[in-house]
Amino acid sequence: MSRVRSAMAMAVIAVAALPMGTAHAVPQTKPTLAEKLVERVTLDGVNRHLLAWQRIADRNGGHRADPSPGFTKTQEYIESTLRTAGFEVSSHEFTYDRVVIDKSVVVAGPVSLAPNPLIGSPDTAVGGVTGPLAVVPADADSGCQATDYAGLNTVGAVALVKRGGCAYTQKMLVAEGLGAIAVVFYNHSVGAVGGVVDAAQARIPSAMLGSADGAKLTGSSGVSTNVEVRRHVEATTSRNVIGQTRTGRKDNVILLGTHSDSVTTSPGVNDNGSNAAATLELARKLGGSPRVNNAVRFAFWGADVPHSGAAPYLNSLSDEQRLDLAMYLDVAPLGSPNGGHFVFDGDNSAGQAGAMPHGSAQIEKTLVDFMTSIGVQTEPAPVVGQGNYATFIAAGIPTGGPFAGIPHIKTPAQAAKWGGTAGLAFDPCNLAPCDNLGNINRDILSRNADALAFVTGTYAMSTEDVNGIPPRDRRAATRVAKSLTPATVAGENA
Amino acid sequence: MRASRLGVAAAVIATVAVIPAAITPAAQAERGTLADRLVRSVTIEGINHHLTALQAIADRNGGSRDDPSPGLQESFAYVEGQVRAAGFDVSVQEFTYDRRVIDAATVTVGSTTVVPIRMGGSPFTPVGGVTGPLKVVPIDATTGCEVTDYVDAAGSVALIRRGGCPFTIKAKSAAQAGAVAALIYNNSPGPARGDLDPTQVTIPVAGVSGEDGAVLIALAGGSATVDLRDHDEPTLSHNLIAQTRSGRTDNVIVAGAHLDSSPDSPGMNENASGVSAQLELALRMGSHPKVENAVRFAWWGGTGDSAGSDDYLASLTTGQKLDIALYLAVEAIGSSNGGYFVYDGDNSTGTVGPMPYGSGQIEQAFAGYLNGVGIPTEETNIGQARGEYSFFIAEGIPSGGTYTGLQFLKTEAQAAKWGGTAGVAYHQCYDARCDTLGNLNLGILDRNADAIAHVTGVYATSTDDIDGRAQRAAHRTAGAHAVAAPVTRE
Repeated sequence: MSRVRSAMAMAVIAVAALPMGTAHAVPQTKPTLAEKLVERVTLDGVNRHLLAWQRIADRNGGHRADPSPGFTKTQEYIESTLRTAGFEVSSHEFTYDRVVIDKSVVVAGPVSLAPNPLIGSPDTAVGGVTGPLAVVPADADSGCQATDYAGLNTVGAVALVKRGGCAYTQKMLVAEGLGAIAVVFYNHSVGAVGGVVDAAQARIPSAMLGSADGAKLTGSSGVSTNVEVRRHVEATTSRNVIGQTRTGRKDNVILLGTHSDSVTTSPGVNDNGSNAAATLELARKLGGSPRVNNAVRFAFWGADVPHSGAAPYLNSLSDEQRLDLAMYLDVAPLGSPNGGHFVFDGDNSAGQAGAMPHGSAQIEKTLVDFMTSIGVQTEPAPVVGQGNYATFIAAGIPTGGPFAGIPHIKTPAQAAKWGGTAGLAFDPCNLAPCDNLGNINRDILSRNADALAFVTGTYAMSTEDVNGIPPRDRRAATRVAKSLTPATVAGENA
Repeated sequence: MRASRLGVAAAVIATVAVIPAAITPAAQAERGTLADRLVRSVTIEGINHHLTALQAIADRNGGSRDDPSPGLQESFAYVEGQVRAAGFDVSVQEFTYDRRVIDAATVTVGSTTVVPIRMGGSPFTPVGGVTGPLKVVPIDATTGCEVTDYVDAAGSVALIRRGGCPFTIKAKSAAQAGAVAALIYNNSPGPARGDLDPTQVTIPVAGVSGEDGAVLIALAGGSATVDLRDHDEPTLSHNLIAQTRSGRTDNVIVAGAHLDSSPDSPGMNENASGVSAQLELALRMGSHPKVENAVRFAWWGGTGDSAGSDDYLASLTTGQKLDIALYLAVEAIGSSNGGYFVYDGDNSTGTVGPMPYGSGQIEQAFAGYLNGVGIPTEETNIGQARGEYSFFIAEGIPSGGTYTGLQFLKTEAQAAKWGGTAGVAYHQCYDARCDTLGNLNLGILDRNADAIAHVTGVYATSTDDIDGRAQRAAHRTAGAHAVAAPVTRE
């Protein structure tokens, strides 16, 4: 974007000014593909796709969830845009087990609430389970340890636990260990509710309420509380939309992937509208036949995030086809209204991502260096909240990407460096009807879209730092060198 | 919605009163905005010039400007000539629509015949009509809404006063009581037109004007023959589109007014008022204004039943529809006994359903302007369900506008705050011959034209509040700051 170019121009000037006497000798270097893409991918261009998502949702019951007419329209828009831009467009169909909620209630005396069951937690029988409510005192890590329940009657109880401080699975296990029959979590901030517990360890039903609903129960300690959670699985067909450049090596492909759906309760303009919009606009501006060394493939995954079409896609590829993938750039929501600048922790420096495929650290560095060049501080993200990338990491494919943050609470330190409001979730409207065109921080989106453009442009030219494959001109030079000096094999090391 | 707006208006007034010094520099800066310049330059004299021209066109063409007619052609030529002379990028879209042609619309009792309007969704009568004794349903608050309202009605033509329940309920109750046809007469002067649920209505149903209702009541007991038949005829029509030659063409502000009158009416309020206000706004803005976003003015052909905007939108690609930032409806804004209504964009009335994102902001822009000049407003759901406006909503395009009322009666409370006469329709000459120049309330028209000029000027400058598309220069500046100190927006 234009202001980024001015920042880069200033950087060039600074470089030029440093070595005395060489200023006039600095050639007018042509901008690199990465720089050109940063320039071409404009906020206006990205915003136009956000507009399309909003209008599609407005015309189709307020959402774009898969499966629904709104999602179909979203995919048609993406396909048509990719085709117009000259991409080779294909469609990959798959079937997944969609979870349909039959009933999900928490009833405590006169209060009846509808929680969101945690993924991986067991269902109740018809009629649910009933016990006195054990309200765990709220602190920064409520219910993470058994001592938090001191003085509470927990045997046969329904535990009410505030979010935060440790994993849902840990809180659930602590409650179960004390004899609780169900756990009801409530959010620590306005924003989306929902989460995952480890299905292998989950033996009691767990469901989650919003912060306002949670507040309706915190005064009901001891009140007989019924929790009923029942779901069933429905085999559902969806598809991934794939667009690939007609140019570049097909055996060293840069793959970008994003979701483009919303949940049924939201138009999803930030989640997953902002990431889909930035990815689509980048594809448009790259074009179907760019001068690149490596082909670029854009994947718009079908199904909802927990059942991402990424896994079925990767499963559909042969080993050779997987080796053709130089890397996976996962594009998570980029425009969170109270967001920040996270970069996937490719070198596991924060110690939470676990061992990462070789090359992931370099992807992280490329993104961080770009952000640093435009004066933006980043933080490593152990998870980017999307779930697509795990499949690629498991397959040993170098993985990275930018992210603006979604459910977690912005810390005072983050607010100091990124602006925004400390103590509030990065996207307070996540999964809610208010995730609309007004729910976008366009400065954050603009910078994240620039970062995505930069990293894509960089690796479309050379993935040498990630996997050792040099750019074409260097390969050509090497070939020429080899043909000229057939005797000096050692020249290959040059 | 309304309460909060009034609250805001009150707060502004309080601020002005307490610290006038603080507001002065801002007010001075305001004077320089495009919106304020347009409000100043769009005058009632300028609008009246076009109204006079359109009245003269009706006068020399049999008293109306309906589609299709020589009066409409002349109206089209007048507006087209004006915008072409002003240098706009003008295009004419030709389309064909199904025009309803009336074969029979009569109620005959003895030697007296009145002309009803068949309600949309009502079945036709056979040729020659249906005949039965004319029975007047006793008047109460819910006349003819319950089957028990009808006494000895089998085989009769039921004459029912408007009001108290939907037309479909009256029609169903009349049919259950055995009536062979139902006539619903207006509870105020002027015609009664409406729509029925065709799946529930089994007998012919027509609306009768308040005046004709009185005529028929006097003939109660006589043998009445109701003949209602019409057919659709493919009809050629045109939309006139004029766009500024400046401003971005991928974020266009569209304002639209339907050009036609109803048959047998010069249509000065409905809709020469909108046509003229919009034309004057276009001429004062000019074809090369200094705007961020291009402005496109549309004058729709077709009729109220088959609006030209539907055909226009159908002719656009997905990308061309995305190029439209928003739609402003300019319809019926000079009602003689009118009020100040703003289209409900945020569904705060609960009667319009979910509206495209941005419509609430447009509503606020209109209400904010009118409230700011001391005029209380009310919300209306008129237009959301049918007419030119509805097709933009159906496309997900943010929409809004003002409206001064048509057939409904002004309440005491409305007369108290807006002036005018309580208990009388906002627009007494609705679709009638008397909808002439003399029927207009020029004060109301002037203020509505100002509101449209203001809102058009605001959005021609930036649509940031509805779709995030800021004025480019402003965003560049904000962006430049943002690099130095990340995150300037919350």
